[in-house]
Amino acid sequence: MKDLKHDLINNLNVRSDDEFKVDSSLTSKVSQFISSDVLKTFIQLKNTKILNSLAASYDPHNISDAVENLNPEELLFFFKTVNSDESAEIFTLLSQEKKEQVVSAFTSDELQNIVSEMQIDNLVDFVDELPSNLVTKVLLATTRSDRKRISTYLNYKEGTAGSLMTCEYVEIEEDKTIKECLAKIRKIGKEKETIWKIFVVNKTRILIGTCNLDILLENDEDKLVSDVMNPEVISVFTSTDEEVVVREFRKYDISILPVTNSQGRILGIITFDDIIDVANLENTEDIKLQAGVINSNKPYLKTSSLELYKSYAIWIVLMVLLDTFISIALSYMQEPLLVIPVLITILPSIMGTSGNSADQTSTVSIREISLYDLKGKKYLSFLFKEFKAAILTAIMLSTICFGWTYLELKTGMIGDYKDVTNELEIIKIVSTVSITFFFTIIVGKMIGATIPKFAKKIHVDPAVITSPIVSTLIDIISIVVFVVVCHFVLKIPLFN
Amino acid sequence: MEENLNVDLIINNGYTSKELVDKISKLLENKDTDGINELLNDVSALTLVEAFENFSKNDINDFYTYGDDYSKLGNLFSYLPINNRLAIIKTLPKKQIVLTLRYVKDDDLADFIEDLTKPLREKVLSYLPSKRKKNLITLSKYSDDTIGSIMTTEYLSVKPDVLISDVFKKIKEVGKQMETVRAIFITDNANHLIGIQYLEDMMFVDYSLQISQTMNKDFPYISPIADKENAISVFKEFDLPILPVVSKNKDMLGIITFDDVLDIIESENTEDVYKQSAIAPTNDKSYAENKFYRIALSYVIWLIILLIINTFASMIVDKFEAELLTIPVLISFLPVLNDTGGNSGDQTTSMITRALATGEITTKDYFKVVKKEFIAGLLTAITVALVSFGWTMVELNTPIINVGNSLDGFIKDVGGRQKAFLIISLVISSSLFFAVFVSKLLGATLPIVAKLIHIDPAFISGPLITSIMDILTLLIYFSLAKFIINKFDPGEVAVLFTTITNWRILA
Repeated sequence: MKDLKHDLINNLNVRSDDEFKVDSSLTSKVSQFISSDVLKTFIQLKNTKILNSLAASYDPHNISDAVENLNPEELLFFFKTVNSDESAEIFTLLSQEKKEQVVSAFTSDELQNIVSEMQIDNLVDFVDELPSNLVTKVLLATTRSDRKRISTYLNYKEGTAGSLMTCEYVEIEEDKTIKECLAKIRKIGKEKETIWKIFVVNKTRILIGTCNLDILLENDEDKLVSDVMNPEVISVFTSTDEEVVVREFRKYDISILPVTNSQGRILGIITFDDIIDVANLENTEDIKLQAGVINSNKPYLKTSSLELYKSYAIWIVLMVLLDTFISIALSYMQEPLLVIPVLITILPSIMGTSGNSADQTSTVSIREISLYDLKGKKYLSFLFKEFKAAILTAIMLSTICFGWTYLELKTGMIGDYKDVTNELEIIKIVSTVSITFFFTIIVGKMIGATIPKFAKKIHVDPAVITSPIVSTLIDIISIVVFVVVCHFVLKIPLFN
Repeated sequence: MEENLNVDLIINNGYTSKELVDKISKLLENKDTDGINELLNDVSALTLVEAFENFSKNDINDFYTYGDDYSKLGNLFSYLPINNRLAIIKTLPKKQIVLTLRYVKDDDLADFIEDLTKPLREKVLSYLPSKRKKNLITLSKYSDDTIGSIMTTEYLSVKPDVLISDVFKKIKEVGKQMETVRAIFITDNANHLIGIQYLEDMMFVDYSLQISQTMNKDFPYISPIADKENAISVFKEFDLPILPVVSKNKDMLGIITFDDVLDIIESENTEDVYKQSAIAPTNDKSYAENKFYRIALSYVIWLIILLIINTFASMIVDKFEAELLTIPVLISFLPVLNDTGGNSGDQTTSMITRALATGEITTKDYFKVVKKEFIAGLLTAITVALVSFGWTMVELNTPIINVGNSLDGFIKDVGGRQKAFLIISLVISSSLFFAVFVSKLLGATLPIVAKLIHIDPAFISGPLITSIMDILTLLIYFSLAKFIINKFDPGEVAVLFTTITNWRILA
C-alpha cells in the first residue's frame, strides 16, 4: 500500500517539458498534469486531505479532464469532498454530458454545494441545455434570488449582449476614495467574475467611468476614484448583436465590456473568454453561409445525415431555379455563336473565370464590411481601392488570356484552327475573349464590391444573399458582353 | 425612454464628434498644453484618431509639439495612420521624438520600424537606448507568422522571495511607466519563469507571505517560434488574459495578451475565407494594409491557374461539339450543370475544411464523414434530379427557354416533341444527380487527403473543387447526350460532323 502511494506521488511530478519541437502542437504546454487514475486511487483510499490539496494546487482545467473519467460513485465522493469554491470551478469545466451525470446522481441538497458557488452566466448556460427533468432539480438547489436571475437571463434573446453577460462585477460610487474602493474589493471581490475593471457610477447608478485594478494600486489611496478613472466609457446595450460586441472588443482592445440599459445604467459585463467562443462561432457561421449551408451551429459530427441533407438541398435547389435566368439568356443568344462553334467552347471558360473573379471581391467585401463596419468615407475609399485593383487585374488577365487562348487555338487543343493560315482570323477570335474578360472582370468586381453593402442597407445578412445574386448577374453579363463583342469583332448577328 | 436601436454601442466621453473636433482646434490655436494633456486623459486613442481625420499632418505635429503627457502620446502614436507617424518622425525635434517613442509598445514599434526606408530606420533606431534597440532587433527577427512577432517585452517581474506587501509597493513605483500590469511574473536569478501571480488574486492573500507561496506554479506558456494559431487554442482552453512567452529553457522573453489573440483569430479566419474564394495571400499583411497592386496580384494568381485548368473543360466541350449541334438546347443548360456541381462541392468542402480547422474532426474521422456525405449527398442528388426534371420539362414546353427550330431534327429522330423533351430533361437531371452526388463524396475526401499530405485544406475548397467538378460533370453530361443521340440515329452524328468541318473550311 505504501509503495503504491509513493509511486503515485512520484508520478505526479514526473512529466517533463518536452515542448518546443518544431511540431507546433507541443509548443505550449502546462508543465504538470494529473491523470484520472491518480484521482481514482485517492478516492478509493478515501483520502480527503490529498484530494483537497490536489484540487487547490492544480489548474482546474487539468482536474476536470481527469474527473471526466470518473464513474458516478467516484464523482459523488469527489464533489462531496472537495471545497465548494474549487468544485464549482471544476464542475463548470466538465462536458455537458458529465454535468448531467452529476446532476442525475446527486440530490438537490448535495448539488447546493456546487451550484451555490458557480458563476451566474455559467449556471445559466448549463441550465439552458439541461433536459427538463433535471432542470427542476438544479433550480431547487439554487437560492431564490439566483433563480430569479437565471430566468431573467434565459429571457434575453440568444445572440445578444444580454445573453452573454454576467452580473458579477464590482461598482463604486464616484465620490469614494481609492482606499474605500480597495476595501470594497477585498470584501466582496472574491465571488465576482472579475475585479480587473471597477465600474464607477454616479448617484443615480449611471455608469460614468471605469478603473483598472492596477491604476487603483498605483495611485495615492486618498485620491477620489473619479480623479483616476477613465471617463471614456465604451458600452453596449442588452439588445446589441453579439457580432457587434466582438467587433468592438477587437477595435478597442478591451477585455471587459459593460452592458447597460437604455439610460446608461450598468446591468452586467461581458468578459473576453466568452467573446473568444463567440468570435469563432460567428466566423464558422459566416463561412458556412457563404458556401450555401444553412443550418444551426451544431457541430458537424453531431448533425445527422438527414439534417445535413435538408440544409444542403434547400440551397442547391434554389440555385438551380435561379440559374433559369442564365439558361434563358443563353438560349436566346447562343445561335449566333454557333456560326463559329469554337466560341461555344470558350464560353464556359469565360463564365467560369468571370465568376471566380467576382467571387473574390464579394468575399473580400463581405469580410471587410463585417469586420470594420465600413461606412461613408471609409467604404468609398475601399470601393476605390477595389476599382484600381480590378483594372489592374483585368489588364493582367486579359493579356495573359490573349496569349493562352492563342496557344489553345494554334495547338488545336480546342477548335479546328491548327492548320489555318489566316492569322487574322485567329487573332480576331482571341481578341474577343480578351476584350470580354477585360470588361467582365471590372464589372464583376464592382458588382461584388457593392452588393454586400446594398444587402447591409436593406438589413439582410450579406453572407447569405451576395453569392447567388453576384454569380447569376455575372453569368448573364458575361454572356451578353461576349455576344456583343463577337458581334463587333467577328461580325456575327446579335440575336437569333 | 425609448431605446435607440440604431445605436448598438455607446462611447460616452462627454463629446460629440463635432464638439471634439472644435475642442482640438481650439487647443491647437491656444497652444494649450494642459488642455491637450487633459484631453489625452479623457478620450481614448481610437476616438482621437477618428477626430484627427479632420486635421492636417501639420496640425497633428503641433498636437505632439504642445502636448507633453508622453505616456499617452506614445500610446496614441501606434494608432495614427502611417503618414502622420512619418510626418512626426521627420519634423519634430529629437528630444520629443525620444520621449514619445519611449512609450510606444515594443511590438508596434518593431512593426513601424520594419516598414521604414533604411535612412529613416537608422534615424529612429539611433533615438532608442541600446537595450531597447537590441530588444527590437531580436523581435524583428521573428517571422511574421510566429508569436515572437506580436509579443511585448513590457512586463513586471520579481524574485520569488519578495513579500506581497513589497510587490504592492513596487507596483506603485513602476506601474505607471507600464501600460498595464495585470500579472506579476516570478523569475529566478537566471531569469527563468517559475510562477505567475495575477493581480486580481493578489488582493485576497496574506500580505506578509512571500510571493513564492501564493503564486501559480502550474501555468501554460508558449514559445516565441510557435505559430500564431497555437495561441488561440491555449487561450481558449485556459481562459487567461495573458500568456507568458518563454524560451526552451523557460527564460522569460515576453507576454501576449488576450487582444492579440482576438486579432489572430480574425486574421486566421479571414485568410481561410479568402483562400476558399481563390485569393492567394502574397504577404502577411491584412487587406486594409495592402496596396491595390498587391491585392490585384493576389487575385490574378488564382485566376490564371483556373483559366488554365478550365482549358480541360473547354477541350471536353470541344470534343462533343457534334452532340451540341444536334441538340443545341444542351448549351443553354451548361451553366446550370457547372454551377450546381460547384455549389454542391463547395458546401461540403467548406463544412469539412472548417471542421478540420477548428479541430472538430480529425483525419481519423474520414469514414464517419464519408458515410454522412454519402447519405446526405444521395438524398440531395435525388431531390435535385426530381426538381430539375420537372422544371426542365416546364422550361422546354413554355417560351421560357427559346428552342425555336433547332430541335426539329432530333424530334424527328425520336418520334415526337414531348418524347424529345422527356429525353433531354432526363439527360439534364441525370447529369445533375451525378454532379451533386459525386461532388459531395469528392468534397468530403479532398480536404482530408490534403490534410494528410500536409497541404492546407482551404486550398481545395472553392475554385479547385469547382473546376474538378466542371470537368467531371461535362464528361458525364456529354457522354449521356452522345449515348442518347447514338441510340436514335448513329448516322446523323457522322453527317453532322462532316457538315461542321465543311462549314469551317468555308469560313
